[in-house]
Amino acid sequence: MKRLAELAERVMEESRKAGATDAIAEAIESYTQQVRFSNNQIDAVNSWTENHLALFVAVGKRVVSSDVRDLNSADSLAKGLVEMAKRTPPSKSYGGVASGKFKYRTARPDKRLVQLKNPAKFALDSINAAVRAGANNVGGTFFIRHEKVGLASSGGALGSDESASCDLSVRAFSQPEASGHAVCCASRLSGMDARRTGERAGELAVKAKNPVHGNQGKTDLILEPLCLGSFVQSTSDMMSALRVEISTSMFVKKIGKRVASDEVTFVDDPTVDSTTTRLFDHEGVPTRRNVMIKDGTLRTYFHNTSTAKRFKTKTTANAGPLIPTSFTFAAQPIPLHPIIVPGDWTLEEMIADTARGLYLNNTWYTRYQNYATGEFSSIPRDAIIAVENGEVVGAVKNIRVSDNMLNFWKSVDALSKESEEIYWWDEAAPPSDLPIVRAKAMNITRSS
Amino acid sequence: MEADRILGREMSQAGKSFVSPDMVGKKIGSEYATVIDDPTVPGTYGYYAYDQEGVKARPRYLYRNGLINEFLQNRETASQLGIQSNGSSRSETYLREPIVRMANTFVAPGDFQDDELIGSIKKGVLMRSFTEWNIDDKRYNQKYVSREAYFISDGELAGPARKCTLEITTPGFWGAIDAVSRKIELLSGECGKGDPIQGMSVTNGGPMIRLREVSLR
Repeated sequence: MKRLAELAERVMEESRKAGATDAIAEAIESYTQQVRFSNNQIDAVNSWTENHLALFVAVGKRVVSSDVRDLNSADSLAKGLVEMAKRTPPSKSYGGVASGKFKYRTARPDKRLVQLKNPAKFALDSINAAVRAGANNVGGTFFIRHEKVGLASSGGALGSDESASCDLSVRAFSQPEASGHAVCCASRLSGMDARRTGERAGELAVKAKNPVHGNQGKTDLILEPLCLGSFVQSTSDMMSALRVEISTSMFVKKIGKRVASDEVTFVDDPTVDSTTTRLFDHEGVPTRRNVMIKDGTLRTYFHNTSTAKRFKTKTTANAGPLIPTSFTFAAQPIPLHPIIVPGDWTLEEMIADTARGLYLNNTWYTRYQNYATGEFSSIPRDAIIAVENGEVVGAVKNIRVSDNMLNFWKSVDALSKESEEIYWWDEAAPPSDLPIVRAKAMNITRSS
Repeated sequence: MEADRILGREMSQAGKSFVSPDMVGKKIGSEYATVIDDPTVPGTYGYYAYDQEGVKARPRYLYRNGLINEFLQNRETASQLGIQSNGSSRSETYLREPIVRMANTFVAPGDFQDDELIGSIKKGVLMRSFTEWNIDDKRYNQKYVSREAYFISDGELAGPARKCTLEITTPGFWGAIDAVSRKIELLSGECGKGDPIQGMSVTNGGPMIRLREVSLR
């Protein structure tokens, strides 16, 4: 780990010698194992060793970033990038890099996870458990992730981090249109319960049998954490100060305003034990717990140093990657580990207290027609269970939630005591700690 | 129309399909519904000459005159179905597995001028672009909300229309087409699929099409 920090420091110093006024270098080594399975069998076992060094340099307000995938050629990146920066038009929005005497906690990755060599066992356990629960067709992925990071900045950051985690996603079918989905995320191997995850997906698939067309109109929604994860993803993305600045956010001019019901407190906390625990953000600022929404009122946006300067506040230690990743901008503030603070309900109490509603297992394609107002729709998938007069009465299909995201959060009236860490593909990401929530009178539509 | 989706390999991420392998030759739309995926269109964002399993690229007629014609195939899916790959295997980088992907996907041109389509409508809407597009994981229910749209009255554009919502099934959409114009326009974009997610350069588009008797909200 120290080796990566030393490499980052060397490249950062080379950049300064070449004329950079600011520089951040981040060296990353990652090893990922993946088991993909479908139709009750393993399709592929993949592993990737990926190294890269990302470098951000500024010459005054002229900024450039790039990366190399071969750490042996990292030293040669600095000079060329600084020369490129000198020829780049100044950035009006650049506000410098974080500076200070930073102290970091110590990373403690689970060595059993790092050393695990037989990931296929977890996939097979989940398939068998889903079939025993009543499913006839099971698919999913099991990941083991191990990452080492070294970061150095001209602002005084110099740190190392190491993380290990595993995550399992299981989708089970009992009929062509009856499925259930369950996930398990763990930062310790002992926390990975593949059998229970498969069993749960299978149980949901059985509950989803013989679905009928859902009705249009207003109904209460009970969202389990996996489903809520998709809503949390787009909601937290819109808390980025950059999204606010470019008006692709429903939170513009909403600091201090009510954006959710009293029951909703929304936190971002990468310091808790999770699959995305991290010691510092991509500027090297020590991560911390940020309360974004307190009892329904918006408290802050996600900031890096540049956005904080423009908003006349301080960074929240949410600086994103130095280089763009798939479908994201470079260097924008990002959520790191969203948490919805649990309530005091049980799922059974929520169902018993619902006169007319739908229990949603999962959703995808949460898309907006107007980011500024929050009008959106999302397509529930997997088990959609109808509730009438406090009882489960059957399964539903072919519906769409078509409403407003601010209205959704303002309509939340119950949250479960229990919460779980969820992550699924790029729909429910980044990993989040979420309870089950109920939202009153949400609008349902369907195809004509 | 991606064979890996149809065969279930993407079942826990991108999902499955309401189309099954035995539906080749079955009706999916009107006679005007011909949909082509063609990686060989020069100069396009989705262009390639050979796919990443070394199979020579060619146009794939997914729907031909309203009938399901062929699926996008890589070597793995084609072998499962006992046929040859049609060169649809793509990956984002050498570090990711090649999977079945689209390239340049568009509706085949017809005989009408754009003006003729508009002029033929007594009461309707011209939807030039849309937002909030989404589709379910079996590819059956889809939704489009207009971004730029205009009312049509007695064959003339009659002012801007806001938030026109088309929420329709896949067979409902393709079955409602009764006219297609000559001029094709392709738009570039990125398509996401796979796990880890792989962004892929694609285009999609086609000519102007006329849908009859569909419900707009």
